[in-house]
Formats: sequence, C-alpha cells, structure tokens
Amino acid sequence: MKWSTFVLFISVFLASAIPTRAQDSPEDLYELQERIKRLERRIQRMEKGPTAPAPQNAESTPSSSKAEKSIPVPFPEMPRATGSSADSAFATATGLTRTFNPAISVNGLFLGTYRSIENNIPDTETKTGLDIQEMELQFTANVDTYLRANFRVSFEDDEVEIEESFVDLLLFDRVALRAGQFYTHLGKHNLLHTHQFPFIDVPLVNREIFGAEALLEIGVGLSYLMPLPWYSEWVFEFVEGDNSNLFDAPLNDDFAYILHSRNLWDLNEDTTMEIGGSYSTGRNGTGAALGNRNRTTQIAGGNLTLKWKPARQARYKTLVWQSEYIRTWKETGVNALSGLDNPDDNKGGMYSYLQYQFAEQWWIQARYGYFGFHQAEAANDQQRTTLLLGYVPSEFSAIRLQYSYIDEDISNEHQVLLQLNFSLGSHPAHRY
Amino acid sequence: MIKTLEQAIKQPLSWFLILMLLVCFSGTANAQLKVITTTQDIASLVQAVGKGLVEVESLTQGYQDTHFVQAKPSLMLKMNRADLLIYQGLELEVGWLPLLLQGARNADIQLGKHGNLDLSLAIDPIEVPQGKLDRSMGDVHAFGNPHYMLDPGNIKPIVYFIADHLSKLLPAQAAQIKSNRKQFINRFEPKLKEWKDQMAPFADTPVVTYHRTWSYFLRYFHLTHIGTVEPKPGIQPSPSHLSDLAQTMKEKNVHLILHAIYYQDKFSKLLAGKSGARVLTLPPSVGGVPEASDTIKLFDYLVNQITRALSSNE
Repeated sequence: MKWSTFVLFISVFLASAIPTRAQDSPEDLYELQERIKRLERRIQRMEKGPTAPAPQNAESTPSSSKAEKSIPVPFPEMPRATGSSADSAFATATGLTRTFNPAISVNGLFLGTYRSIENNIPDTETKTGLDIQEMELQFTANVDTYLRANFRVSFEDDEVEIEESFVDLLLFDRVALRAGQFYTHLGKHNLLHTHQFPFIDVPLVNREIFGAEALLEIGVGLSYLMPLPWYSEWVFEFVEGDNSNLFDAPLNDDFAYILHSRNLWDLNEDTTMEIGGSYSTGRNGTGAALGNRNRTTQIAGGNLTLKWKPARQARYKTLVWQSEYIRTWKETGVNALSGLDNPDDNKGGMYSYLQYQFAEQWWIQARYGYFGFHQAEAANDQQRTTLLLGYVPSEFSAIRLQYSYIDEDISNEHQVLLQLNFSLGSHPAHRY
Repeated sequence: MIKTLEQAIKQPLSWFLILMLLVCFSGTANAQLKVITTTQDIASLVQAVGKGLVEVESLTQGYQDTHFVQAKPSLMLKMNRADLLIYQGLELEVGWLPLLLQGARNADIQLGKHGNLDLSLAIDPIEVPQGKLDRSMGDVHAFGNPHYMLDPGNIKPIVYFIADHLSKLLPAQAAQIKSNRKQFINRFEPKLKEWKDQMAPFADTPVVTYHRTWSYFLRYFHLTHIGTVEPKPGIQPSPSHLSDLAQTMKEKNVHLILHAIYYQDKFSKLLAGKSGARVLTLPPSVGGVPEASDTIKLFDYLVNQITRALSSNE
C-alpha cells in the first residue's frame, strides 16, 4: 500500500508538471513520460519481487499479444507469494521478511577409491571403498550497510567443522578488510575449498607442508589493490598461528604473519598470466619450555598460472597451466643439554598441472607433484603423477575419474578415484 | 636470502621508493567522466549521447557470450577507475558482474549509488517466467529475457534514460547532452521506419532460433517464433528434441534458423540437415562483426541479412 500511494503521489506531481512543459516541446513530454514509466517499474520491482509479471502498457500491447501467441509461456502459472507484509508466507517471528534470508548452498562430494596397497591396515584413513569426501553448507549475505559475511560448515564422516567463516568490508577505495576464520593467502591452491580443487586430492606439497586442513587460520587480513597499470593485489594477514605442522606456539603473543602478492597481466584477449608470491613467519611450538630463542618457522611460496580461454568460444575451450612451489624453514629450538641449536627442519616441494577443456562438458588434466627439496635425507622424497578425465554436465555438477601413480619412500602405489560433485542452492561465484 | 629480505624491509629507503611509486601512479587524473558498460551495445549509445563529455569502454566485446564472461582481474581494474557503470541487468551478467564489483573496490559504482545504472528499468521485459523457478529449467532468467537491446523499439527509451542519468552526473553539460540525444534520435527514427518497411513483407514468417536471443527482435518485426534448438536455456539438445523440432519445422514450413555467433553451430546445422532449413549466423551485439560497429549499423546488418535470407527462400 505504501508504495502505491507513493506512485500515485509522484505521478500526480509529475502529471501536474507536464501540461506547462508540454507546450514547449514533445521531446520534453516524452522525457517525462519515460521518467514516470521508470519510476513505476522501480516500484513494481520493489513490491512484487522477481516473479512479477511483465507490465503491459498501452503502447506495447498490440505487438506483444501477437508475439505471445507464437512464443509459448515457458513456465506454467503457479501460486506465488506477493511479498506483502500481510502475506503469511513471508511474515516471520523476527519481523524480517524471508527476502532477507542469506543465500544458502550445499556442496556434496561422493568419492569412490581404489588403492593397490594398504587395504589391510585397519587404521588407514583412505582404503578401497566408497565414502563421503565432504558435504559443505554455506550461508552468504550482507550483514548491514558495511559488512558482508560468509559462514561455512563442513561435514566429514562423523565430524562437523566450521570451515571458512568471515566478514568482508571495503574500508576505502582499494582497501578491503577480512576478519574471521579463513584460508590464508599462502600460495594459490591453499585458498580453494575441496569442491573447487582442480584435481580430486590436494597437491602433495600442500598436504605435506600444511597438513590435511590446509592453512586455515583465525585472524584479520588487509588487502590493497595497488594503483599500478596491471592488477596487483597485496595482502597482509595477521593470524593466530594454530597450524600444528608449522606454528602452534603455546604462548599468547605468538602470532603468525603472512604477506602475499598477486599480479595478473592480460597477455592478449584470450590469455592471462598470473604471478604470485607469499611469505610467512611465526613462532613454532618446539622447545618453547626452554625459552623463546630460535624457534621461528618461515614459509615462502611462488606460483605461476597461464590461462587461455578464447573470447569467441568461452563456453567450449579452456587451457590452464599452473605451477606452484612452497618451502619452509623451521627452527627447532635449543638442545637442553648442550645449549646448542637443534638442526633446522626444512622442507620444500612443487606441483605443476595442465587442464584442458576440449568440449563444452569435457576436461582432461595431468599433474606432477614432487616433495623433498631442502631435506636432509634425500631418500624420503615423494612423487605423484596424476591423470584426470572430467565430465561436467553443468556448472552445478561434475563426475571425475582420476588415476595417480604414487612413489613414496620405498613403496609404490596405484590409486584410482571416482568423484561425484554437486552444488545446490545459491552459491557465490568463484574468483578468477 | 631471507636475511637480505629482512634487511630490505628495515631500510627506510625501500619504503620511500615504494611510496614514490604509488604517488606516481595514482596521480593520473582525467577530467572526462569515465563510463564502463557491460556490453558494446550500451557503449555505442553512451558514446552517442555523451559525445565529447565521456570516456566509454565496454567490459565485453560484441562477439563474446555475455552469459559466459571470465571475471578477469583486468576488468576489475577498469571498473576501479570508473565513475559510472551501466549494465543490462535482468540477470544477464549475474555470473560475473557481482564478482567484478566486489573486486573493483570502487564505492562509487556499488549498487544503490549514482555510479550504478541498471538499464533494464527503461524497458518492459518479455518472457518473464510465471510461477516457481527451478534449476531443472536450465539457465532461466527470473526477471525476463535480458536480450532487450535487440528490440529497435527499446532504443529510444534507453537513450533517454542514459541522457537523463548523464545530465544528473554532469549538470553543467545538460544542454550538450540534450543536443547529442536529439542528434541521435533524428538519425535513428528515419532508420527505424526504413527497417520496418524492409521487414514488413515477411510479417508472420515462422523461424527457429538457437537460444532465446532473438525474441525481442522477432516480436518487433512480427516474425513468428516456432521454437529453440536448445530444449531449455543453456542446455544442449538431445537427438529426440532435434527430430521433434525438425518435424514441427516441416509442418510449419520453417526455412530459417537464427544462430548467434558465439554458439557452436553443430546442433543448428544438424537440425538444418534434418529439416531442410538454413542456418543464418548473426551477431547479436554491436561489434559482433566488423560491419556492425554501432547500434544503427547493427540493425542495418541484421535486417539486411535476414531479409536477404528470407527472400532467397521464396
């Protein structure tokens, strides 16, 4: 009712203005008529929401009635809510209409595994068989004028875990702030959720350095879009430092700091190059009881991505080449007896993969991963060669078949994974 | 290596150099209003209305599928420097524009600000789905068909809307904008009559299209739309759908399949083989082919191609 009164008021106001100006020129009259029409449409959208019928005005009726005969109405008439506050379907106890509900989505990942070894060890996590890899539930909404929030829980076996959960805020032009629990900007793969992984499993180097949970931390991050001719984003993150592989220092003030730079250039209309670099430092938990000396962990990483997507056939062809290198320096404290520094625990590895979309719904991919740089014992290095065939009927579902040859320590393994990936609900678009 | 990095960060000189770099690059101011549009169709009209007053650039090219655009960071950079963003709306850009808007970090062009203009307010959309929507219906647009720039009857209200909005942002140049608008309409209206006359003999001719790209165009020129090669928006056709459609086309004597340049034409060609009709591949947007370099030339091109194809069938 309120809006209708408003329309009436505006229409009367404008209509009273028309006669005096109409004498000047028909152009001005047309201009005012168009303005009224736009106001009416704006109000109609606010009142009726997305499923409002197309407004019919006198001008378009003759031609559109003809067209409607030839174009079948795609969807049959069904009862729908009006969005009015008198409509019981929309009224809630909190006094907010359902229009303000967050976008909700579910991502499901079902996994079938074949392994050539270790199937008879009772405690192994992955064995030949069927499994739910992950179910993810996500809520996204603007909190108020200032904040935008994401909340994500993942269900895995019997565990429920808060995954990423944070708020974003545009502080000034070019400067954005993120606070909460988030995947830190350490490299490129670390930012991805399980259902976004280019392959079914995590690259070897990410798994070995960050552990199964990736570098997911609680903290605050600031990102700045540099005023440069190319896209250059710099991110600084100040986090708790909970990762048990890397930090996990027991003292209150032992935080971790992460710096990341992401640079992109369009080489031509179809090809984009991305170069990124990351550095992180923080205290670790080794030898903490013996004082604060010499127990810093440092991480450095670099990544290079080339992406080709022909503008004229964006729906049908893509080629991606991505490589990433990550290394760590981990001081391990002081020997209590001798008073000398323990030897550093250094690690490093890389992966490189190719993804090729050769038809609208088909992808073929290959990846090589290596872990074992900078280590004292070269015998402990690991290699993994992976091939993948993906069938992607729509943006909301995919079936992927992956084969890996795993060369670890002394044993070699053949592994085959089959994954079903689906998304339902309103899922925010993934970043480039 | 890390030691030298640490030293570098501690050096006040390196901080000074970084600051200098920032100052150098941020000082490039330009007096003209910077307008970013999502399509070349809009850019062409903004160019006509804001001639000499605005600097306009489109995020996509006319030969690109506007449903499927990569949210490239280079586009975010363009939007970061823009004073005004104009888009087609009706969910045409829903897969990529929100991501770009967030990444652009430009408060002036966010939703609800004067720098954010949804052009669909200027027109009455058609094919607005009634009732409940569901993903099983394919890539359905809840607010109606977003390809309204292909309706020549929509151009005038759109031009007036753009002129109105530019006058709000550049009040001192309102007279100039009005005269630009008049110049364009004076060129456009005789053309409109010309196109109508050219298409008049083909009224009620039945056609098939690949996607619902051409609905507004067909409505305006009174061509009859028999069906689409896609069974649902964005979904590949099955053999049975194609043979059913071919059957209908034979019954209704359809000779023409309209196909937008950015779709693969294998299914349209398959259907053409089954039904005896011919595929006419057309640019649905300004810049889609070099000949269609602005709005008037695009309609010139489309009307000429379609009338030629239809007369050769008679």
